[in-house]
Amino acid sequence: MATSKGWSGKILRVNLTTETITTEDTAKYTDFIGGMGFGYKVMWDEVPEGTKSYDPENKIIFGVGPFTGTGIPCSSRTNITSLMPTHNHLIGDSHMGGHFAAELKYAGWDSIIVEGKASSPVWLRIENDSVTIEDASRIWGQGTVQSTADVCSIMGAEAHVAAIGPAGENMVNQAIIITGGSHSAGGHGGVMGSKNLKAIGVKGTLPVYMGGTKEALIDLDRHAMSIIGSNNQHVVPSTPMPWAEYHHNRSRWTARPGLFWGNANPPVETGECPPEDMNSVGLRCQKGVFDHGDIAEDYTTRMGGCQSCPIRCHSQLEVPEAEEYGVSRFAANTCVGWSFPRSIMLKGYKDGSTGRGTKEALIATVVSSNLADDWGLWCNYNQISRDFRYAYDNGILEKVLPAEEYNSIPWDLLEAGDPNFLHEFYRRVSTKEGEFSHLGDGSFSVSKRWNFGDDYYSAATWRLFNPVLGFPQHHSSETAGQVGALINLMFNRDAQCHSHVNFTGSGLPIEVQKEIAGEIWGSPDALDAPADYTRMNPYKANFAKYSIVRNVLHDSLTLCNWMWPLQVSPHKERNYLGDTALEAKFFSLITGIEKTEAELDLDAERIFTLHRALTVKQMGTTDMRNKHDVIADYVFDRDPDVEPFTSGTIKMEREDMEVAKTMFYEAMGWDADTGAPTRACLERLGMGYVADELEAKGLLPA
Amino acid sequence: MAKDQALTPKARIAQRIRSQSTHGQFVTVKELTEAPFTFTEEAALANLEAMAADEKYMDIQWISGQKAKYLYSNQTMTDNYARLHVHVKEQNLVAMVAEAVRHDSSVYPRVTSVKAFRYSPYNLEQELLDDVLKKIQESDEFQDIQVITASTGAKYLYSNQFLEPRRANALVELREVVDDE
Repeated sequence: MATSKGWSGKILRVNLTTETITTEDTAKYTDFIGGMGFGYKVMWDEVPEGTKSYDPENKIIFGVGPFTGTGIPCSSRTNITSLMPTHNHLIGDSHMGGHFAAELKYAGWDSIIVEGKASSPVWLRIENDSVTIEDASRIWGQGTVQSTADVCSIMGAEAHVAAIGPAGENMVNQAIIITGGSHSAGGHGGVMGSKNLKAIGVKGTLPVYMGGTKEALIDLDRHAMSIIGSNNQHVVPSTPMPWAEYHHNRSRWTARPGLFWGNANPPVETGECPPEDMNSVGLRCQKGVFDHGDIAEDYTTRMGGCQSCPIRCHSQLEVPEAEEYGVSRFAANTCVGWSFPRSIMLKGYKDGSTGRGTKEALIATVVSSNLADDWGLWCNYNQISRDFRYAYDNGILEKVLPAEEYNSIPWDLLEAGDPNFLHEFYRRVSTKEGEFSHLGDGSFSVSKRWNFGDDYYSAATWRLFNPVLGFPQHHSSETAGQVGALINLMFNRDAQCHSHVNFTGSGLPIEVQKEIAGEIWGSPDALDAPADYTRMNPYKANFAKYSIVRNVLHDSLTLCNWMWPLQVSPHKERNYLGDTALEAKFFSLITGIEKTEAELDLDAERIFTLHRALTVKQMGTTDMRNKHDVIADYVFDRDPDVEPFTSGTIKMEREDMEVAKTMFYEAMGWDADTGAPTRACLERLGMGYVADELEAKGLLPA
Repeated sequence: MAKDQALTPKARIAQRIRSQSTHGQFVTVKELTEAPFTFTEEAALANLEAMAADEKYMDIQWISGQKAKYLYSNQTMTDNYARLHVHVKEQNLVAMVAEAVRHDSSVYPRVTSVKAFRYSPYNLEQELLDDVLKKIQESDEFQDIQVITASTGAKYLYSNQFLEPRRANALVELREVVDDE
């Protein structure tokens, strides 16, 4: 048998009901690249519509791709595909970084398909070809930290573990799967719990073969490293530097003279980090101060991150005062992994402060982050804290909770900003204790259950972008107008797409961005300046399509979409252009299969169209435009005294967004009226069998 | 003979300027008359004049401050940084802040966080920064510089020569509230 290049060549299938473990050939799936693509293909082929997230018939697929384990920058991502319990049981993905993905590849697997349901708690042990289902009765009920430690105590410290906490075990809809202490995938913890699967431990010693030579890989790696920026591919520093023509104080390239990892021994100065110095790439992002404010500098021990990632976006903090609240003094995370735990403290902190920036805020955040990750609770991109705030501030909790339960909650601690309140919050939600725990059901469910007012669905404060599926905005119309709005419409959860916001947030001036936009998407008009929007045009549809296609490509290869695509670079001599063909160059080198940028994008288009077809099948309607692609009123009704497309507002116009949908559908080759894939589109992408099945179900547009 | 002693006078001057620019520093003619250099002021200026006509030294630039003229290499220090650094070097703080704000409002365009001036290369203490802002607001020369307060309380600056108040306000709220996740 020929050696597989890039892919390991094998997929692991574990049936927990029958306790059978089988191996399948990856070749069956390679039209779908890997990760997310494999997940959708399995779900299309094997999970019938009408299946609910916690049914044994549901499957959960842990996928990696041809890039995973190769050392390509930022390639250790695990894509998890299953039905989403929070979002009407539609197809969805959750994602995590860390080292689990690379280790799975080194064990010789491209994906794990988990099906059925174990009769009692189990964990899955993978050591290369040796795969066993192990008794988890000793670790069931433990937090994710202890669970990970327990698995490692059996497999060895070099094992990498993906685990759920009590939230997942109890099938709380908003539950995570976590690896490496701080890399969490939100949304599918409960699916693992429903299968009585507590954890997966993996240890591998096998090689990943590639089609090209070592020298060619080193050359391409060097090229990638020469144009890479900081976290989110921000390519200018946050403060003026001699080497930099531009700077932006919201850039995640926060390194500067005088800024340290202050808790390192001795402290490490981040310094200037000029772009040509590859050895200082890992110092560029001092994310602690970006996420917490200046206060975090003295508590930052170092920056951490994923296998093969030079960027290091997880700040690793040591805050001794956290121990006073019964949790570890150590914590690591990034972005919403910090802001969500912080915002559970609705009334601020002990010193009377709110938001971030004070020591008390930092202590509460570290306490809350530890608890959230250990209980294994997901935030639905921070919507859980907004749901909590809405219910608390509007007196809803007092109405819907039984009096005894309401009175048993120490609201005085919340009002006083005492982090001890957090123990109550996480325990109650994660163990489904009482009515209060329905905060973990998901925003749509809890808002209906507790009869939230109309303003919850329509006011910008609450950020519920899709009121039908109950997910929040995630770089939506506030990011490049119609482009961000379209991206936020297309998935079945908050959009995990960063292709567009990485571009707009790069820190470059708008004229430079527009010039690059013209090169990539056909016209500078693809991009509007912030708060100075224009009407929809076909180039914006190109931008939106490209952003999604690349996002999907990255979750299949796998690559981190918080860094890729490298559309821009820090180099004036390149006119700040990056290299959008880099994924295709790496793909050709690693797999030995020559593909152009356009050919690889087409593969990703196939994957995303299958996602759309799955959504049509699961919802039982072709009318995606009106039943799925729904936008909250606040997007259109904010700034009531100002017309859309006037300078100084991010307000959108309803009619224009319908035009935007049409242009996007057409760009994808979907039906312009309904937004559902057509037979012609599906056949063009080699999925005539999908068209046949949809047609048989009456779900193909006329 | 030390390696740099073997260089021509023009090359030695260029080497010094480029090296200093990398570290964010200007060079003055006076420095070229001091050790390790041995030029007279006239000789230094003559070399610099010759360099201005030599393709190899096209990166060597002059920039004028209120107190002196400075040399830098735009190979290793960008022109934008040099314009800013003149004010930092001469501690011409009012002009420094005002020009930074105008640059942000016109080029990106964006609002300028007051807090940004607390960090390098400005490094202004809060009290001094408050004083600078007061002087800007009192000066006829800088009437275009406006202060705007976000709903979070954070203060920003913008120039109404380049940004309308409504847009500036929207940009502040985008930065402080909407994008704060």
